[in-house]
Amino acid sequence: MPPGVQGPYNPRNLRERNSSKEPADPARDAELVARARDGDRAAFDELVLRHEDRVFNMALRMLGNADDALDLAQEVFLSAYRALKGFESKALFSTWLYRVTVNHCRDEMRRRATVKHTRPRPLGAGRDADDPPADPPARAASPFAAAAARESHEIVAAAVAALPDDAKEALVLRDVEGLPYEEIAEILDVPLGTVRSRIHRARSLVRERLREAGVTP
Amino acid sequence: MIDDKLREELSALVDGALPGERAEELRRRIREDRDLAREYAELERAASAVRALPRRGAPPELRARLDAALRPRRGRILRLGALAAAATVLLAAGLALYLGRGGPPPRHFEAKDEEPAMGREKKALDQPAAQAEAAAHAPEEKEVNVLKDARNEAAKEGAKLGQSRGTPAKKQEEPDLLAAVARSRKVPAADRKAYLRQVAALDPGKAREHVRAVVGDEVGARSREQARDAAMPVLATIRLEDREEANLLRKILGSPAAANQATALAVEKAKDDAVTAEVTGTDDELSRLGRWLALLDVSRPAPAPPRVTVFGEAKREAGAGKEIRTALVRITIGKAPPQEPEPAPPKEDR
Repeated sequence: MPPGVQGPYNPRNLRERNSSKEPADPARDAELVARARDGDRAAFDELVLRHEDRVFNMALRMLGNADDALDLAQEVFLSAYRALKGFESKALFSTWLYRVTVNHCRDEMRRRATVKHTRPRPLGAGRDADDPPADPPARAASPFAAAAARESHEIVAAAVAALPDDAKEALVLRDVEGLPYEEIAEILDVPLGTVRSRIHRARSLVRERLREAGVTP
Repeated sequence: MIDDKLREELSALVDGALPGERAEELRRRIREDRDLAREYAELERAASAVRALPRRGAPPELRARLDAALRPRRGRILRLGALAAAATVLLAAGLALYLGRGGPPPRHFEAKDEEPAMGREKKALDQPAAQAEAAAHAPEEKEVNVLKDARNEAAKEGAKLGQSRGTPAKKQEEPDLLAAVARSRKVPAADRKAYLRQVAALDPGKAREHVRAVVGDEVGARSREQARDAAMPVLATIRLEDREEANLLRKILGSPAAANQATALAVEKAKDDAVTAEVTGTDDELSRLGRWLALLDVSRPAPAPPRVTVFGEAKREAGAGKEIRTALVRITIGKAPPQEPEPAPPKEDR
């Protein structure tokens, strides 16, 4: 296990970890959506507040760059604002918003494939200047441990960023956002079996890349 | 032998996403089979490594950007849909206003004649289809069409425009109309500049707002060159090929959110052909600013190279492990620096 990586992961904690500002509350979301549809800007602002971290983090891990993630998060919320009237409450708002985010990420990655604006970040390349420290100093055992943890996070983040797009989407939704397979299938609009195989493929590739970078998973 | 299906199931087991019976059976096999146990452990560790990646909160800038983008503004007619139709109407209205003021006829009909054929073809290739088609038309034919449209549209809009002419409401509306014309891609760049100059004369703030919008719109979808052409009153452009550097420059210059995708940064025209920007950044960032400013690309002939003056350190504060400085930078273009008279050579007495 790379240094700094915590022990066995408890999926139950992931939702809590994700909701840094507001706990997931579909009923509250539905109420806010209804108000926002009627032109209540304050309601939309609250929706943004409740979901901005999730959207931003997903974009960050999909695109591998904080500036691009910020741009994309802005586009996602503007699109959501414009499309809110057409949103059918059959799906959860959070699921719908993830779908909008995935679609924007796909557009951006397609654009990158044709226009090379950004340089690919090789494994072990310098971390994003805006990335937070890997471990808060108070929790780190020592400066050395903190540096080692940061280095391992950089390697893992680069390995995720280098995944094929479809595998990356599934992995980020599962391991970064902590969503169940059923919801991932709904967001990506693919069968459950496809979600399972994409997640497995992504994990196998991450494992290989970590090995190549000298970090044995 | 571990086949792909079994590996997928192991991965699903890591997530607790296998049905109970199958999960139990697989766990039993893992206990008995060392290869399977190793494979499972590696997949579990790979998953844990990804899950342990630090999470970041969305920066406060996101809400500021959204707030700016969603704030209702007067005169944002083009946002209300029917972009093409609105552009035509506004073009006509703008032309009618422009001609009605007794100003010189629009220059674009003359300017096209001056443009070398090769240049025109190249421009046409660079432009979107509709614009390329327009550029390919003979100037005279285009003039006839545009003026015909203008007359027709002006006839429809005439009553409204005529009624409001000279009233305070009219004065507020004009910059919006002119700016909308200036943003229309159907109008050649040279003329858009002229329209925006009028906007700037009527309402400098409005002109700046529209310049930002134009830069944002254009850079998002088009080449830097087109963006530069479209951003008419741009005084100078700092062009950075490296997008990360461009982002950093935008950040420390506090550039508006509109220029999201910009890899070129436009310095807006301001009073006295100079712009003062408050820059904030670390020592390293500010030292890089000097290199960036050396890349200033002046968009029109200037009698003197751009002058950059960094003055006044406004504040210095400790950020997250870094010292953040804020300073003011003034970029002046177009005016020759005052020449100090050379001292007369001493007379030599012989």
